[in-house]
Amino acid sequence: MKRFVLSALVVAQLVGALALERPAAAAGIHHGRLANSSRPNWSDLVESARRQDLFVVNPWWVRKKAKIKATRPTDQVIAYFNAAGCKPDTTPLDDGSGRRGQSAMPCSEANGTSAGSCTPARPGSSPAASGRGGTVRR
Amino acid sequence: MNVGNPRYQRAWTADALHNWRFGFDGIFMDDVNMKCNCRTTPVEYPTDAAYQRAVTRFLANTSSRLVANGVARNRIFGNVGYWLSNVTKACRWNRYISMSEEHWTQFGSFAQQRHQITCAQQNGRWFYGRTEGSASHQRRLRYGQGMALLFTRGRAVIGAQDPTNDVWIAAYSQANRLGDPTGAAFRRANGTWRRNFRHGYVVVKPASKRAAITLDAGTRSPLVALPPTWTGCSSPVLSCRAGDA
Repeated sequence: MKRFVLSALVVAQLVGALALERPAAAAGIHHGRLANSSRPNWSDLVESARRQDLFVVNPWWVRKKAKIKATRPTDQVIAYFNAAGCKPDTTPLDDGSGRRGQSAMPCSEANGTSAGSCTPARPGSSPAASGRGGTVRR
Repeated sequence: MNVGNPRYQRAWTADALHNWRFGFDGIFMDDVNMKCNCRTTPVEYPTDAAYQRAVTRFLANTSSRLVANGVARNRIFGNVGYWLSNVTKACRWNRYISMSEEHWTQFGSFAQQRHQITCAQQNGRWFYGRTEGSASHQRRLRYGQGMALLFTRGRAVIGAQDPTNDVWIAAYSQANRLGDPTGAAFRRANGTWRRNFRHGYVVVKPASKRAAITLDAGTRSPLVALPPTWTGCSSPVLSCRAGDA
């Protein structure tokens, strides 16, 4: 049974990894939506799922993810997670399970692993992680 | 945070995996930057080159652990900040991750933008370009779409940089109707670039940041000039010299 479950997981990963390589538009274009503000407009989630190929969302939106997948199984839903910032708290998943997600490492944990670093300086306008913010010309 | 710290990298990977295991297809790393997004120069990284080396170690170590735990490598997206400061150097991170640009076609030269989208699609990785704008910024978004159409190898994703709303413009629907390209993009004598597709073609005029998609049925989007845009700057802190901050 355990072997079967592991095999199923491996197959699921392969399917997920290949999902964007669609034969219908093998070399064409794809569209994506970043939705990681504190309150994204989900009113058109089904329509959004139909026309977008890739979503980047905060990781506590697992019900939203499921709805996207149910609408269009080939859509790829990616969890946002900041590489260089921290966040003071975690957020309950929207599935009512009681589990919690986070869009960056908790600051308490980050400070313990990053000797010599200062606390992030200012509340970010970036919605997901404190300490990051604003629009930067790059 | 000190991205070059091995303890931070291990803890970061564990936290990222915790969230990925809620059933997501991949992980989007924000703030994979060519320069420290810091208020002051960090003690650990007195130069951009030093910070870039730390980010490279971060990407190598975290991505290998993510992949070892089942995350598809081409579904690890790094949002690369200050990419245009050294396009070629940043492109080396394609070895570890798919790459994302949140100011797609808004800054830099045509050659730099072409390099971005081309290098990001090497090694089976993906390019995800987002252009700032709402549905009222059709011209700007259409240019980002047009540039992506020129150089997509089938692993280019584009869209608007709007964290709240779903932004969809007519050009996106037109692009979906083009089908696969029938050849590579080519430069024409008048300075425009064109690429043919099974059901139409795209023409891009880099000098004025215009783009137009023409479908076989005759549907055509207008060529419109894009005004220059500029944005501000921010600077969170990594680690400070004594007396700084």
